[in-house]
Amino acid sequence: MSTEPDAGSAGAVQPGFGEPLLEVSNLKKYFGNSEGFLGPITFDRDGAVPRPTVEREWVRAVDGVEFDIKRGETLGLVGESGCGKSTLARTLLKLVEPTDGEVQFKGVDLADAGGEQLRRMRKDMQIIFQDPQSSLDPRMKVGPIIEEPMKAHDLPESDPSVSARADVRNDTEYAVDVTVDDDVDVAVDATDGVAVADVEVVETEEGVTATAESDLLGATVEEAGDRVQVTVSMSASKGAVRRARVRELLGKVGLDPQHYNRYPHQFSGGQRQRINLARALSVNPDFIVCDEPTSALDASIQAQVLNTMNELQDEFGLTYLFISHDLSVIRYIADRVAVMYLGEIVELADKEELFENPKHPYTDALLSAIPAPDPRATEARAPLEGDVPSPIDPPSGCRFRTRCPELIAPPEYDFSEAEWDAVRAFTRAVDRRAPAIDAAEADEERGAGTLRRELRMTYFEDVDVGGEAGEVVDEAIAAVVDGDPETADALLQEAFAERSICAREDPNYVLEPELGGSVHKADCHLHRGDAD
Amino acid sequence: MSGETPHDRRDVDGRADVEIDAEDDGGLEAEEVEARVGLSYTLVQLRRDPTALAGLAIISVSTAVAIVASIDALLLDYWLTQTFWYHPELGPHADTNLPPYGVSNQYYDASRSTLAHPLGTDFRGRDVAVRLFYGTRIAITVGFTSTVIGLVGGTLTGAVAGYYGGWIDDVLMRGAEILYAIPFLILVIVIVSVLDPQRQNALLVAMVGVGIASMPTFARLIRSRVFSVREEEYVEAAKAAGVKDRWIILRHVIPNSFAPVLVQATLQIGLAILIIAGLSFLGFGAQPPQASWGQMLNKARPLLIPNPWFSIFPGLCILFTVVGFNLLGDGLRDAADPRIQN
Amino acid sequence: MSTHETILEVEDLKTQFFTEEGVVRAVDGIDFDVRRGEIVGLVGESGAGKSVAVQSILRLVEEPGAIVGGEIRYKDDLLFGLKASADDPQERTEREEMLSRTEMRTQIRGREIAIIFQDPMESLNPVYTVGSQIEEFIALNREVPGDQAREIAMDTLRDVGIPEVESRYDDYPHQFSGGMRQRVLIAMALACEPDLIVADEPTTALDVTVEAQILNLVDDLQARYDTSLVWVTHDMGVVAEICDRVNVMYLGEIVEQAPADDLFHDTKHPYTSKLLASLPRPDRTVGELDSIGGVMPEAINPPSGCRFHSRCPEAREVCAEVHPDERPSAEAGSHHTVACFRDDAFDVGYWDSPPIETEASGGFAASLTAEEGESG
Repeated sequence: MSTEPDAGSAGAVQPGFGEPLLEVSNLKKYFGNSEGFLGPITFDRDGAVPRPTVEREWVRAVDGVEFDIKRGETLGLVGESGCGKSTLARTLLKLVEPTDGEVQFKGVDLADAGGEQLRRMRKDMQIIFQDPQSSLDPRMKVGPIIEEPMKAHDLPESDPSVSARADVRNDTEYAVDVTVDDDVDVAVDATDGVAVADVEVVETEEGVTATAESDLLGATVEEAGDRVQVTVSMSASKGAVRRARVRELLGKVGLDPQHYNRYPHQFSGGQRQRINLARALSVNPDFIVCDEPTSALDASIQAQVLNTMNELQDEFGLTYLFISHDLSVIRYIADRVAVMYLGEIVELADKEELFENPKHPYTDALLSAIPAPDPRATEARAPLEGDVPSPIDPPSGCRFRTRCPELIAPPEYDFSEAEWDAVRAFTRAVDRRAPAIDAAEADEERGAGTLRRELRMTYFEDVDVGGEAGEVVDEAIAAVVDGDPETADALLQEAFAERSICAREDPNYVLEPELGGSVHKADCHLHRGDAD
Repeated sequence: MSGETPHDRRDVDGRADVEIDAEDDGGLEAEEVEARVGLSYTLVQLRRDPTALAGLAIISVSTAVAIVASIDALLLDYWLTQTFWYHPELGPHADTNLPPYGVSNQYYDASRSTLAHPLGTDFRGRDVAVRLFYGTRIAITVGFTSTVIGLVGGTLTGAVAGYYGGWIDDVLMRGAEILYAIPFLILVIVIVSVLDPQRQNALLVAMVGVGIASMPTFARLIRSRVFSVREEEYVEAAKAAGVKDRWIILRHVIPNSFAPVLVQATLQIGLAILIIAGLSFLGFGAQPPQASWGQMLNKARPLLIPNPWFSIFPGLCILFTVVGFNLLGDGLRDAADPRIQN
Repeated sequence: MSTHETILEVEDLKTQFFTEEGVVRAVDGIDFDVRRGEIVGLVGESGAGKSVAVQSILRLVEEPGAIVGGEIRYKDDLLFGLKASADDPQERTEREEMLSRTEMRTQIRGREIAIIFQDPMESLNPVYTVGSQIEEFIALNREVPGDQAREIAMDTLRDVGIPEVESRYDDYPHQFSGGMRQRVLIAMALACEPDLIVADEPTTALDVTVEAQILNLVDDLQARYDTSLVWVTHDMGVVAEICDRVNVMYLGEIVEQAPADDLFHDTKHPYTSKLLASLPRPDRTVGELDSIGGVMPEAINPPSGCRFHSRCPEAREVCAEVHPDERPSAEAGSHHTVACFRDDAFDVGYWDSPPIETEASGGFAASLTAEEGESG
């Protein structure tokens, strides 16, 4: 990662790899519950007459996200559907307006960049979407699709910092003087800030002629005594240069340049993702957000596309933010990985560190949930219970606490591990109105005593929770049997769940990585002792 | 176009293409028409639909007639009709109220009828067939022009409202709904009365009026499509690539929302012809001595019993033309809707 | 498990779609069976024909598609079968003992064989409550009165882990999360206590943690009711997790059939092994993925000989000329069948045949120049 390949026209000295390209701090995106000017009005139906109230509910899709992406790396962003990862991608690129927070791209805060400036900055940051069906306009041919971003930015343009010179192969006895127009770097790739045009000078019956190797350049000859003066300049229009570049890009992403005139529907899903790649690459961006680019593809095609993306990253020095719900894909493509849950990044570390030494119980749960393609890998797994809570009213403290198998016991009670496990399981069961709780309410034929005993057998078989906690549990069981699980739920939440440190404090810890990388961020109170 | 039989399939295709061009919103290049993969597919489907083909045949005939009449009126200074017929406004006023050839009733006997006036003459002795001939020109022009006005205005308004959403949508669409809330004919009459109280350019103003009044229909139609198209990833991709909104709307959003609008436009042409005929009948459209169908109907009103042909022939013209456009519109709708395909 | 009786037998099943472009041979002569209490996987990429195969079992193939050959037997019933017509030996007609459409609807679907689809939202009618839909389904298929159906519905919903059944019973499908909706569909499938459940990519639309919940649930329920399952999926991980036996499909054919463990650890067909090698692993870091070159050809005009030969790195001339049928592998034994000439069960001179250039040898760039359309 020390050399910096640059195949495009941009030959400016870029900051080295490893420098942050994108810095995100405290980024938030809330969505209102409805659009339009009558949207916020809701009707309260409790009374006899519905009372209109003006109130907006906010869906906290992204809620205080912080990370940076270094030049040349791939940051993997993984999370389940609805965790806000796609919204994060769109907010990063300011395709949706962030509610709060800062995104610094190449040192410029995108929040301050408005209108035309932002539009120009989009040249350097591109996005590839998930759906190969809908990401290409069905009514446009492939060529114009790939050209569109270039057209929008009036590319190609000459880079003023690139100087031009010519390499002349002289087959005549004349001495050759050569002048090269400054803008030939549009047609030939620059290396180390110099664009070199190859020119051949030959003598024929009609006289001395010069030809540039690139079709896009023209060379004119003026004879003056025993010297000839060769002038190299752009002969092709911008449109022609763009078309040439599209054909070159099609080849680079593994398609046939002859496909220029085809429509998207004539391609398979994998090929369409390649077209998307070519479109993103056309403006020579630094940064590409890949929003689940391979999830709609078959396994064998996914492998092809992932490999191509890796090759292109090396060739063009690209930086990726690679979003996926698939941890296997992330493990293959990413250098560092961020795990997202309910609008927050809960863990962020180097790939090996995160996969081999996960510190957040959610990451753990995700990892154990993926079925490995090997029937002998039969780890007993304890899948997470319940559903992701609503992002409108997320849990206090750690957002994962309502499903976390490692929820920390409140310090008020002196629980043994078994006791706390039982209490936690019971609390969750009541909260979710699990089938056993449901059954205890539903059945009214048997006496309350039997039901109480049965419930106790189900949840507290081997443990005897005593003291203050025991009283709460007794009360809750009684309430459940009375057919009032709301009261039981409130009791248990108040006495146990809400008193845990997980509910009271927002976790935010940086740990010492064990397997590489510089930082291991794991927002879980289990590590409150180990953090720096 | 006029020389070929409308049942020729090549002709059918040719006609359809011309129509897309004619109704294009003007902002798109020629290659764009070619790029409408979905549309050309729709047109192929259309070839299998006999009712739509019948509609196309009727429209082809009336459009051909309208074009010939326009050439005659504008370029040849009525040379055609004067040579082969005679000028409608300069007709021999003596031969008034001739019945159609070979027709008689209790007021007129067939002996007066002549092949020179196959459909008879009116109360001023003008040839009814020639008046219908020029009436076709007015009807077709009026239908197409007002629809194009409504189509362009409505499409742009609806696309902008749908694309941006929020308060822009609120303002534009509430405005459209206000127009929508007024009965169509009354709205057009109001527009005509306000814009042209002297009735100097009554027909032109009526066309514009019908166009404006039909804009909300198009706007609402395209807006609902735009709502789904703007969520398509290629629109987002264009935005992310830094493409300007104007370009995105013209290049991506409108072409991909256009199919239902095209169907509506076809139906709207028929409706516009009917409305303008109605306006002319009420005295708000074509003014005498212009030969419009509605105008002819109006003049025929007091003579309904003795001279029924005064009203029957323009009535039939209106009927056939409007039915033609409706048949084509229905066919287009079926062809564009994959659920109806078998 | 092998001692159990066979409840479903599919023999030489052929299903074709008659389109304007030509005849699409979506399923082209597949054989497989399902025994009692067994989970049989049907795995393949999109376009392999696996969904059409299970639709054929239930005779749910719609115009312009039709089952054109083969035999499907469920227990003692003939779900599909043809015989040569009396007057014209070329013409084949349905056999008398084959179940009629009505019998399929009233006796088989739902009652004996239930189906679970990929998208739970599309399988539930959004304008009726979840409870009423299950209730109606039970009342129809089990011929029980309304209140009893309601009771059964509630019990099954509890069985599949739906919380608060009493209050959620009258909720609408959109008020359930994706995982809960899939649970509802499983409840519906179970409600009539069928002996066979056909699950068509039931966890594909779900998140991994929810998928894990559902897989656990299915495992659990399957053990409890001794139901057999045909599990259609493209996900090798799910196959490894849940299936007892696996059929690998490629372009309308089954190319390999083996117990799950053998399939992964004693792979016989190059397609299966390439497919496994192309998967990124959650449990270890791999340097570069070994992808299969090219894309699956269209079923309208499949390659000659072995259908995989155009993308196979092991292809030789004979592969393009002769079509391999599925045979028990010579090395692995009768329970492991494979359709590849590299196995000694075949004697067509593969090893003497010269290797040929394929998309696999030419890399992906070469393959992508070939004209092909949608493979979905």
